[in-house]
Amino acid sequence: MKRLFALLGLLVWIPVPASTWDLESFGLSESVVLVGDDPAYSLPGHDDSDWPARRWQAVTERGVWWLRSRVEIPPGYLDSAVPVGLYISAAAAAEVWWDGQPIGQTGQVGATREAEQPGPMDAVIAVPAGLLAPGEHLLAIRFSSRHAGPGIGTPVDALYFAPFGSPLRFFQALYRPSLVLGGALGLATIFLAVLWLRERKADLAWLVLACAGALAQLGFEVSRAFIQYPYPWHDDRLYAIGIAAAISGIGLLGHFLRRFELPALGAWCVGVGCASAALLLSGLQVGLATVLIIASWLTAGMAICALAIRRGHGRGWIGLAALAMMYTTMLAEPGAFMDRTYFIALVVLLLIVFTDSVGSHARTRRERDAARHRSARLELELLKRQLRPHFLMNTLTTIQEWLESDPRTAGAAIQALASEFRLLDRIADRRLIGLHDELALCRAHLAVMGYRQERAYRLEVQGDADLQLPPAVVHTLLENAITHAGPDTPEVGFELSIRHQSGNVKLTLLTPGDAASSGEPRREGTGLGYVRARLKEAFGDAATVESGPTAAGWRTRIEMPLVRCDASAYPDVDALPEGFAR
Amino acid sequence: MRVLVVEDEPVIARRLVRLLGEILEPPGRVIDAARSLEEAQAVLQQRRYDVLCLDLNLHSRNGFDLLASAVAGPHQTIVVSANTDRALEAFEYGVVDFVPKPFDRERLEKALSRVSATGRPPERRAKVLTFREGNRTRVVGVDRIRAIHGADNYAEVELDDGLRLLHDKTLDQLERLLPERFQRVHRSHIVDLERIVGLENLPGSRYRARLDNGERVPVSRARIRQLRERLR
Repeated sequence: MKRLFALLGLLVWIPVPASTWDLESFGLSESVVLVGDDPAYSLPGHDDSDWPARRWQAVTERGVWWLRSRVEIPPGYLDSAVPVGLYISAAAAAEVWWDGQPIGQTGQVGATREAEQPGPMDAVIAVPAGLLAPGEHLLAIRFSSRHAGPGIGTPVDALYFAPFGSPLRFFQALYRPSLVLGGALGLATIFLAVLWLRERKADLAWLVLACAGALAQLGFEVSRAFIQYPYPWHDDRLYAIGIAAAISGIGLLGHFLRRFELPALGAWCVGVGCASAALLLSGLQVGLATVLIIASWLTAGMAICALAIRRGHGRGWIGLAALAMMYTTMLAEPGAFMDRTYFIALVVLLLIVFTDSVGSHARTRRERDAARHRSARLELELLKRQLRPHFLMNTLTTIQEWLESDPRTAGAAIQALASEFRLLDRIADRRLIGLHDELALCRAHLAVMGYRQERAYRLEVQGDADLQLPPAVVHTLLENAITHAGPDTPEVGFELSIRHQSGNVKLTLLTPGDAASSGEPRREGTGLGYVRARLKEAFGDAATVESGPTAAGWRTRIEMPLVRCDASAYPDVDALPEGFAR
Repeated sequence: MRVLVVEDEPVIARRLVRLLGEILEPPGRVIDAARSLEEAQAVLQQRRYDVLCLDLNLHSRNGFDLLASAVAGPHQTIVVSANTDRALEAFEYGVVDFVPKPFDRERLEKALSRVSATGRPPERRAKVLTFREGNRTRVVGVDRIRAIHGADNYAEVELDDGLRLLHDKTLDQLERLLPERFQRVHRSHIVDLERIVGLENLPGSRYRARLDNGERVPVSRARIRQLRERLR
């Protein structure tokens, strides 16, 4: 666990080279913008002093507009072997003039949708070497973005004048840290999916959804660094990112709700889903809508974790801390959040949740294995008790004597013994059995002991017997009672009374003899230990046993939750063989 | 032969009594039954038996305490028990045989034959002797025994520290329980062979064994040859 967190820490500290890139590269920050169209705007001599003071980043118009900028090329700047060019990242077609000469275009600028031909979203227009010289130059760009979708607020993303090769290099550098973390996320997703296939636990499925959503989002995001797509697609890509962000958020919420066993999963998911849809359709800029979607599920997630903490889930703190970490990241740098820090924060968040979740499942599995082990031990203990020489060998010796002196009785005794073993075999591996099965087992045992001790053992039952209890509990108590003898009477009666009380059931077994009168105080033997262990296995701490002498004999009281018999789950055990008195 | 059966399971007690009645010859035959050792003690105070057929639940410390007390009596003890895995321990307490349940007539007959001198050789695996001292039972390791001297109906057990304890069993009975190194050298004496340091010839073809503490124990003429062989 510690090592995993250390690894996560390392991932966070991967340097972020993108932050050294400056979107407003030199020259272009001092530019003027005018909406309108005139070929003269391309000329160096045009007087733009009356153009409004407006930044190109703020332009929202879709029609034709112009940008003019004076670019100062310092001496020595041209020594670089890489050609110098203008990097344009815009949901717009653009035509570029250098000192009044057209040097290139992306798409075809047009006043109407029909007249415009969209170009690629990201492009580099190189300045011919012959036109470059140190000193001031005039850069003029004519834009139109008639094909930009409604989600695009400001068509021009970036204008960047520098020695530049490929238009994709910028984003490749920008997304490098996200890609590295994306690899880790991909592995985690595969691991979780495999784990889910094996364990079939809902919280894992939701976490797989969250990771898959995040991976899809990352895929759409970084696609820009590898595919030079036409700018009208930009809008669709942004919507896809928004939807993927909503999906990963819903997955995370579902995970927390299932993980902490909280109610109203549907309501939470539908709520965040509807809020996301509303934001995407509201006409807000998609990027902003996406940030708000993320904020909405972060808030919901923190609320869920807080609820979990209030319900006593200590692990809710881990989720809350991870979500708060992401929230802080978002608030600290809202502008760069989506482009730079979002993925790092999301992947760290998911990996923390992943680590915690996998650890929790390993714990659950260990506990389940331990419980299984305990059950197997109890089953073995029960069966072994019937093979104890004191019971089995004495019974066989008794039967041996009947065989020689009274074969008919021997036959009946064998039947009774067979019944007891058959019943034991059927119930030993169950956690709960119907009381009528338990009583059948008890009566078979009393019959066997009756043949051995030549006494009539009777078990009287009072109360509503429609309930379930762990196997061989009454049987064990009777066995104990018979071992501890009691008065030497030809008839021995045991009384079992059943009382129901608001969802609980109280079983009281009264066995004669061995009352306070008998000399040696009776120790709590292995029998009662078995009864306690079985009750704990079935009901946890909800069941209690007490046992002690009374004036009338030895009394054992069991209190446990009432579980009614489910006839289909627990078929009636076969009737005992004929001629066998129940 | 007089036998007392101690068995709390009524059918098994009946079985023991029935089979013993078939095995033993009528003259001198006495077969009694008790349901518990407590009940048996009362009977034992009044009559002397040759054999105690004892069922004990040997899966408790209590069971062995009862066994220790039972084997101290002036009778041989045969354990009849379901707890076969405790047979070795039972032998170490000085029982002549251990009959595992369930048992048939042949097995019971074999056990009885180990009691009488004419029967099959006994196991001789006792590691302790137990003595009744009032209500308590004293347990003494056989390693501490130097010699045992016989009287009429009891034996005087001499320990290595000189202490002498009275045992209710006869020399004949003890000889059948103690390990081989305890050699009957005389009608009235059993000696631990490892404690004999020399043999002395006395006038008139009489012999004495000299023990490690200087004590001299008579050796009968009939047993001197066997003793010499074993000491060689």
